[in-house]
Amino acid sequence: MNQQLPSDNELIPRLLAHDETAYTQVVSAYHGLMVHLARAIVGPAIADEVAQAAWLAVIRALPRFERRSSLKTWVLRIVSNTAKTRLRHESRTVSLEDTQGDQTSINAGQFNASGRWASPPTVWHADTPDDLLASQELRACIDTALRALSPLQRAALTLRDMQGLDMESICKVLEVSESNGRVLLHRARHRIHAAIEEFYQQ
Amino acid sequence: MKMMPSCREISEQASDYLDQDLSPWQRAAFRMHLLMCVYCRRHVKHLGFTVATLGKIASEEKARENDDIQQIIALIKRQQKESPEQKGGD
Ligand SMILES: [Zn+2]
Repeated sequence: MNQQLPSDNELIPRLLAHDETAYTQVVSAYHGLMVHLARAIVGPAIADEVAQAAWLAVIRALPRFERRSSLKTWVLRIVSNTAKTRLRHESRTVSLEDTQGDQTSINAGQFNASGRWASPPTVWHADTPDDLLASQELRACIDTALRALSPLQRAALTLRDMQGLDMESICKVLEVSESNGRVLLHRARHRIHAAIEEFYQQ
Repeated sequence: MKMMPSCREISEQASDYLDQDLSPWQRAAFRMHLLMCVYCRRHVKHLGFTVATLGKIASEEKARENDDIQQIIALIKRQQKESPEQKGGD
């Protein structure tokens, strides 16, 4: 499905000229990614709607695109902003940020005063991701842990570990600093790891 | 010169280690700790495993997107008809 996408230099003039082939190429290349990002921030129920709204915003803004980033990063930033705005409207109480304490407190209980493991990590009875995902129960644990992340943590994790973007692009997309981006990713990974660990402890 | 990182510090740096974002010195100290600490070896292995599992989940989800694409193209065309003043290509 992902045929070779032409370069931004070639694509952008064609998009501005309303070239349908170019639109089809860009939508084919980016739409799935956009829905995944929208889903990470606003949840599955309105992710498609947010992705559609983002496309319309992309079309409107394209003549003013200054190309300080790649087209892909710029499009994803529009998705991120559309989703954040939508989330604020939907529920004023939901915070985009992590509300569950700072980075170091995640694992604090696992270590003693000298910084060594208080109780050793559990042995996992799985040798590949497939082994791990073969258990429906464990899969459900992972899904629950994913839902419990803050929207920005989930967005960082989705873009990095599920969609394979580099960290620099992710920080531009989410409009966070490089160090904040790393913290979001670090926390998100540790929470999913902790959910699997808890499963094997039982 | 900084001493060897503690297990707790290894846990805090593990995500950056997996992304190869530690400085050469930090990376060397990190690996030195792993050589000597079976628990941290296990922990870092499991964190890498967690990341690989997320990738696996994502690859399973990639099937359904095709009809959405036609719908989006139609939406874009409609929008372009409604606002012809934005037509570029000058
Ligand atoms: Zn250790």
